[in-house]
Amino acid sequence: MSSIRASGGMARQRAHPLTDLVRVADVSVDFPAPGGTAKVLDRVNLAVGTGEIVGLVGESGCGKTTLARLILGVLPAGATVRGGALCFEERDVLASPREEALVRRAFPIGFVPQEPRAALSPLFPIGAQAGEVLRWSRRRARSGRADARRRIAEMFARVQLPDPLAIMRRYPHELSGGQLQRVLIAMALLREPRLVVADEPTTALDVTIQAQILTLLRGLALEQRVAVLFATHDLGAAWEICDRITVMYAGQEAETAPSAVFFAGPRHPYAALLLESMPRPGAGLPESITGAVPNLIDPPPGCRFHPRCPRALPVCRSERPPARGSAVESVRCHSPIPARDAA
Amino acid sequence: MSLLGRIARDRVALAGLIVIAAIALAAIFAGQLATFPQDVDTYHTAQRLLPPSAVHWFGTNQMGGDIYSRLLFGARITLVTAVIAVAVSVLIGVPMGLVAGYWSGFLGDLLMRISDIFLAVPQIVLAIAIAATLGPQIQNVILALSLTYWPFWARLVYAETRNAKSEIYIEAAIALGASPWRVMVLHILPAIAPSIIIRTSIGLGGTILTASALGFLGLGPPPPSPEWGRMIADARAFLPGAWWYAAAPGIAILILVMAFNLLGDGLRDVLDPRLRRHGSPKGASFD
Amino acid sequence: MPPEAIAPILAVESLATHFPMRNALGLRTGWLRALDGVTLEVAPGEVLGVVGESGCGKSTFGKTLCGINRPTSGRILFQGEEATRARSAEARRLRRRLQYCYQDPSASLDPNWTIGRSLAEPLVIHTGLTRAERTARVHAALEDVGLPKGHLSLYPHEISGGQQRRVGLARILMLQPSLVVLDEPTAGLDLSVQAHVLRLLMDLRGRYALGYIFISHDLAVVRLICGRVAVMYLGRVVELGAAETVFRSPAHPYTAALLSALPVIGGSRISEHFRLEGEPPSPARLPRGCRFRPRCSRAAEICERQEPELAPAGDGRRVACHFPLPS
Repeated sequence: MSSIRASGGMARQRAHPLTDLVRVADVSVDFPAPGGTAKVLDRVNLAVGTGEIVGLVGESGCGKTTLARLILGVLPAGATVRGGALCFEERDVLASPREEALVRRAFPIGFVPQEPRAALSPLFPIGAQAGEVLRWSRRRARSGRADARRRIAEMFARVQLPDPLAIMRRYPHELSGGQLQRVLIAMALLREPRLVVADEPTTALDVTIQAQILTLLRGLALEQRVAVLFATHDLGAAWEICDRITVMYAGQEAETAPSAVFFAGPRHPYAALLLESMPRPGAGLPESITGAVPNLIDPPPGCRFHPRCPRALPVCRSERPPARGSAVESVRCHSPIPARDAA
Repeated sequence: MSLLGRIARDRVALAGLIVIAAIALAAIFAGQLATFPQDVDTYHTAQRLLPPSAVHWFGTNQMGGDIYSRLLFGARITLVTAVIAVAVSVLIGVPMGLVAGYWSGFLGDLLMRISDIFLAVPQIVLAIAIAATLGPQIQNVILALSLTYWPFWARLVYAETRNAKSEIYIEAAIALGASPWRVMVLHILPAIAPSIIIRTSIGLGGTILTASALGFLGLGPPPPSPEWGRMIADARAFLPGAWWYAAAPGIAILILVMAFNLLGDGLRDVLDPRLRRHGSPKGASFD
Repeated sequence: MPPEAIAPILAVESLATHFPMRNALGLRTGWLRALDGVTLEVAPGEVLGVVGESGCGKSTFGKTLCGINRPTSGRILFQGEEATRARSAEARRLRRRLQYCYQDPSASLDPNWTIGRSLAEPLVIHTGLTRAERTARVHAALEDVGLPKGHLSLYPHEISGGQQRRVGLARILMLQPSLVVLDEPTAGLDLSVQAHVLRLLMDLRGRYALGYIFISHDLAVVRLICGRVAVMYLGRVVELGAAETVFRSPAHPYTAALLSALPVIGGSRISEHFRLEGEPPSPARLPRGCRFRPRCSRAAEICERQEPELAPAGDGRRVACHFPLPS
């Protein structure tokens, strides 16, 4: 079953058949920062199963973008990865640089960024940029130019872009944000990945376009059995698209649960407060969480949320809570909110 | 941190600043530092063209004058010329650029076309024409330099002002009801000051070169003035034998111009990023 | 009592702002009709929401009201006075009471000025107060937004983003405005920060009897905060009414589509009921007749011939549609 290197938290969790695609086990990441070292990720655990859509939810400073970049293998220069394992289909890329190169070649990951305009070069037409993606994909041996064009057009049609051939000739500045995001989704899927990492892909879009893109993304992922790691601070978008939610706070993961279970009743105090701070009709002004996000250079010991937590116990100040539960449903808290009785 | 403190941190800028300060001090105290201060305008033909020695550190010229001492007094001329010329250029160019950039449109275009006219003529040629017409005197050199140099500042300030106008805080100040004068002088000018300062430092270097060139061509102060350019011109006849005669002022010009360029380059690092950096984390910059 | 019964603090009539579009040679090729005929009134002290998506003109509306953009046609009446084309001294007088707040209020702070100086600037420009009086007012404003007096000598980059935002808000309050245009005050903010900001805004409103024009694309927030809401599409208001009514039973098909695009936690997924294809056309090339016609499922022949005007539709609402949805 579980062949990852045993480490405190994960050892207690049984590997679940649904979480065997990507596994982050007890990984920490540090960045140099003015004034010291920022401990951006602190022994984080995350798992994504084949074809699963997992939401990585948190506010600024929670580390979700860093975690996404870690999985993609594009951490900025200067970042140090400490300890733990990052496994793609049970192969650990942190074992050695050679292992990383081998594994990543065999396991392409698609990426859909937040700002589509920043991800495309303004100098080249869309078709050429999509073609570049194909050249680097696994099946490069087979494609001639005509074959590549056909595959790109097919993918563009699948993301519901009108008139794919015309779009391929256009330049990025000629397309709207929504159209560009569809192009990027298509480009991510062209690599025939097993996993797509989407970092706030709909934050910059209007709400009606967001609805279209979310529907599209979920549909495609389910249809092609591609797993999605969906990083966002928008709980509504997470509700829409995700099967399972992982909430992060200040570099630590707080809670993981299936979507329906999570939204019905989160167990981690931070997650609960987060849900409560969403504007809801008829509920009056939302409550804000007292205090502020901690400084990552000198974060609070133990559970990083304890200074702001209404349920904090003395042990929270000294000991990092272990994950209670399984790989699909767990909460890292010394005094979690009691679970609702299953209906 | 004060400006001087920040400059001290940047080695390039610091090097430039130290050299400039050293030469400026040498110029100010030329009377005390010169070994033969009277050689600025007296002759001792017996000692003509002596190579560098313990007595004459840089040797003597064809009139027997000590080159080292003449160099020190010449530094005064060079620095004063450059500083005044650049000051005048800045005083003309910066306001013009501000006004043109703020009210871009007919007025802006007009002012920029005027500066284009001045820029179209090569600086040296225009300076020669002016100096030649008005006579070889230091004031005319300064005048010629100012008239040809101000467009550089005007164009720089014009471009920077137009950029600044698109900043939200400028728009907000205008929306608040601030008068154009207030916006230009109190908001835009401090924001573009770094660019002006950097340009000025490098401009001083360029002015020294041009002033020396004018002196070399005989358009500067007449002999026996120890102006560096003229010294090189005079030294030409005695090359390659009395190499020290041309080398001393040449190297002096080189060092001074390079120092200003170094200072300007260093200032670029010192001034720009810090003023634009928003230091403290807004929650955190790591997501 | 319907808002129209009290004298409105702001009244806008057919306000339009068009931007010239120029080609590479600088010649005008057409007009970008960002704001194309808006008529509405704002009652004193009310919070009016203005919602819509990119290109609807809501930001241009806010900026035109405050004089940042110059209107091409129409009228603005503020406190009964004509404010459409106010020239300098008059404009300055009017802008005291009608303030504009940027999405990031801290962006309105000059990074080279200390906070104290930035806060005092509105008073310097508009009032003849002495330095001591100005300082007193600045201290009071800082206290109102919950910041320590020591901040006066700091520069904006020396304090946190949240504090910068509060300074920006304090600056707006210096002139004791009656109406503040808030342009996307919660966009891009974390949920907890958003909650803070909303509370602060409501608190200030209570304390200073402010009215807000709350421009936002976040419908959930607007529903919570605003008494009335105006829905904009391509430069015009398509629906105007009490927020609760509009959100509960929208009359305009676009409003309905907008609402159906909102994720509802605990409810069904959007894909099951969201029906809106395509994207809004560019404001540079508007469709004939009703602007929403190409995307509307209820469109008929008249919708292409005649552009609907804002007309009363029961419940104190106004809708611009030939076939409004039944309530």
